[in-house]
Amino acid sequence: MVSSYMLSVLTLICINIVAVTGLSLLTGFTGLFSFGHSGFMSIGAYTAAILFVKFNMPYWAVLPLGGLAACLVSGIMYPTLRLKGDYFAIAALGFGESVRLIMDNGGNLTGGARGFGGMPTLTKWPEALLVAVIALVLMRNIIRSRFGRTLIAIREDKIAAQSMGINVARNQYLALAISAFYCGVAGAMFAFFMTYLQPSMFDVAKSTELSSSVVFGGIGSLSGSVIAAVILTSIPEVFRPLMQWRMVFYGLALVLTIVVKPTGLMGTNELSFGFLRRFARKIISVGKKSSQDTTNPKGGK
Amino acid sequence: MRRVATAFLTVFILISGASVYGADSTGPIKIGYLAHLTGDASVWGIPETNTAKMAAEEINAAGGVLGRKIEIVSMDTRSNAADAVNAVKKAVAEQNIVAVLGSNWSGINIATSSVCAEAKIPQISSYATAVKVTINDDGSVKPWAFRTCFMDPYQGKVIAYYLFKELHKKTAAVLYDIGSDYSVGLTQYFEDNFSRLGGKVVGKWAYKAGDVDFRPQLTQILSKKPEVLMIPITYKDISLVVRQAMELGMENTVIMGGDGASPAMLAMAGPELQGSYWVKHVSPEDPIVAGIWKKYNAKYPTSGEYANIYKAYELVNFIADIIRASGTTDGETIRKAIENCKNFKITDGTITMDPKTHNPLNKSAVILQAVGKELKFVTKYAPVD
Amino acid sequence: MSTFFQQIINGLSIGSVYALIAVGYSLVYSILSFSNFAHSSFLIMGAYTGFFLISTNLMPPLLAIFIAMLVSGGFAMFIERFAYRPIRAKGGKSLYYIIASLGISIFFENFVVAAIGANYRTYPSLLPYKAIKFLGLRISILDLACAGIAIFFLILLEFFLKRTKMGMAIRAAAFDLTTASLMGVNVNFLLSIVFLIAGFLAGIAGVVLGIKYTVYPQLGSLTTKAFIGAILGGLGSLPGAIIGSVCLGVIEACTAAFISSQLRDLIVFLILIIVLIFRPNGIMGVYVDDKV
Repeated sequence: MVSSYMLSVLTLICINIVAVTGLSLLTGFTGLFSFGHSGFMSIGAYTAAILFVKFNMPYWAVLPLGGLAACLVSGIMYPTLRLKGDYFAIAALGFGESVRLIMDNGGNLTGGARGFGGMPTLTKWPEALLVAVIALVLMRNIIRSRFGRTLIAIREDKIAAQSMGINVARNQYLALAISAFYCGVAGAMFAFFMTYLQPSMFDVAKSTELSSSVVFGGIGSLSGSVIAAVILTSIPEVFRPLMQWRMVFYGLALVLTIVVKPTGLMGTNELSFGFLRRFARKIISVGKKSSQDTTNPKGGK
Repeated sequence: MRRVATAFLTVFILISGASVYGADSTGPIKIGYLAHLTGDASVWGIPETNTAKMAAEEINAAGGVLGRKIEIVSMDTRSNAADAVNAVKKAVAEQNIVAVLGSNWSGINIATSSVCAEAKIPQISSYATAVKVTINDDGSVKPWAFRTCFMDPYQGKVIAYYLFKELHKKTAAVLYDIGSDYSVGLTQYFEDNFSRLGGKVVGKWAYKAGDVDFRPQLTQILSKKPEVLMIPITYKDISLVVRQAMELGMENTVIMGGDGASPAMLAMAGPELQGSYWVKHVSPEDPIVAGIWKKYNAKYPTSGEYANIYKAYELVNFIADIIRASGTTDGETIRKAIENCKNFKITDGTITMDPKTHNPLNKSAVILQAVGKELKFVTKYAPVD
Repeated sequence: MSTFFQQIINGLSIGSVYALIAVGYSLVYSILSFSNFAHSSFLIMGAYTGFFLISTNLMPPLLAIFIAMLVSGGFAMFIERFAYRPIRAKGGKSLYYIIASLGISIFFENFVVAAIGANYRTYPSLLPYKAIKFLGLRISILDLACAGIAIFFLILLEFFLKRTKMGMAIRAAAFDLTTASLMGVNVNFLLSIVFLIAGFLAGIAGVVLGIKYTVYPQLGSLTTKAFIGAILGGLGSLPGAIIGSVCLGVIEACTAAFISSQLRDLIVFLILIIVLIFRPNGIMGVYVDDKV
């Protein structure tokens, strides 16, 4: 028997999978780091909540509408794409904070700092999983398409891609818009999971968590993002007793990952049984090599 | 979708650690205490949790409740709603807690109220003062949410009435935190009442949490020469605001604020805060409150948060008494008992719950004034029309 | 609008602290082309070290502050050696530097919270918290001292960069790291020095911030404003960092005072976007095309 607590953690994992997958298109496959994607979640969440509570639109309609709203707003970031990556990351931070401020000042529309409630718990276990799976399948198709390959080309060498005739800014913007859509949908799901929204739920810390999950899981790996989302959600629960130190280890893990294996946990690989087999074989062979060394001290390299 | 399957396999392996406990009617009665153990607000959360445990020990030493010991299950909110919701869900599923006490933040309590409602256990806030904690937007009451302290509408009224009627001040400026439900709410209720009495709010300026320099706003405020500077914010911001206001030349202006104040701010801005007024729930000079505070400081690292220490103690004893009076830990029964309690004895007085709002009737506020290094009791105050 | 000049003073005061932070950050950016988000950690290191040393009353405050600067400088060198150098050896993609620096800042801020506590600590008062009245304006003594310190160190930095051999090497490396190394510059040593300086500046900024606004683990979040100031002025340009930061301070003060204190950050963000549309490299930025 699975307790309602475990179900709600699983639901939260699905929400995070949608968000992290969307962001991985921008950060992982296109190489643009963002500090402000919680702003898109916020837009999606509030749009969905307001449409549901004040305009009585159905749940399954407000989810994509929330995503669409976030997608449309992402247009304001277009000018920053022409610039170097660092400009974009910080501008994104400014964006996230600005969204929060708008929600705080929303008066009766958004409830401001006092929050917006009245949503029933409609994001539940089997439905959330369905949305996550659809999101993943869609993303897989995007990545495998010509558009996906274009993004990877841009990530690897912007100038080479440009000289091949690729319109860098336009493709980067599409990646941003799609990532915004995904985060918007995730935000909408979140609204009906928490049943109550406050602008402070979507802060810089949340953006940073999302972005670092993508990197941690593997830049350019979809299953890496899924695993990272799983870890991101479940670790706080598993390590509840170590609350304060959890974030310390998280930061340390991030640094170590980048220094030791910059491509992240999964690198650019996708999880499959073939991969697991190769991984297991590598571990076994490393084990064999070290035992050989100890028996033969003069063993040369 | 092999890959998705593999990913979810990982999920189940990771969570398989959590198992489900069955209902236990002979072991200890488990009571959840929701508080901030990490983050900025841990300055209140840690003393509240420690006091709850201290109160539980006392009760157990005196024989427990209904022949069983009580056990406090501490839940960390991590100062954010999503984590608080998960913490409560986990405690409900794994430890079978019969009630949730705390926290002192409205936003978090509003979010956890739906979890408690679903689990059919009552939640009693410590100092969460926003209206929405117990009352829905449409005016209906939340069946499972209660509080034993006053609300922001009342607090705003206290401040407005005290300033206008007792201190005879007619103009006020407000500096508030745009991102804090507490600050925004208190500002609105203060302005409504102050204007109704005939006073004038010459202007409201906002800042964002994390800001440290308020001089742009303060310069504008001082140019309007208000008689009062009302600051419904928390203690750290209070210290910085007042210091910068004095530096900009503020004089002969009364400073007043709400229960976000704390003796800690006197260490940061003692000289500048002299003579300022603060609304609190209980007075440090009340002998019962002082006694509990002393007991706490003897046992744990010293804390100046006497009000939260008192409240945690009161809540644990209150729920224990409710369970005793009901003769059972059944959710619906104790819920009704709380809802209908009339002149029920609590640590420092009695409480009568208003069944329509789940707020206590006749809870008066206490006005304190910063004198020297302490907040000294001025008077108990209940606004009279 | 009678408060206009006072608001300019307020803005200059806020901006000068941003400038001190932004310069250290810009220095690293001009050489390695990445945003060192760990700069906030160097700042916190300086703030806390200064606080603890001064509180013990074992030494004159100036010495304590100097030691605090050394500590944060050393910390910065340590981070460069063990976190950034391995990344550089492996190819040094800008994205990796960003993540590593992010990880460090998350680690350090939470480490301070967990190990030392989130409580606010007040520096013992070293200077009177009073203001000078000048032509109807109020300028705080603390602000003058902080601005003075900022200007002092910036002049020192300018001297170092323009008049010493090491400074010349740094300027060469800022232009083209690879060529500089070909000309015989010891890049590893140079980078250590650069980070030492950045750490110094962050350390003194930390002490200044700690004195003005008390010491707490999230003090480093003010570096975000400094980064925005550096972007406004033009990443990679030191004068740009100073001008951008000071402008940012004044814009913030005037926006909060005369337009809307509730929407201040939103308006500042919009202004940033508009500036970037017309001057993509900031006010003073010089666009150096990537060489193929």
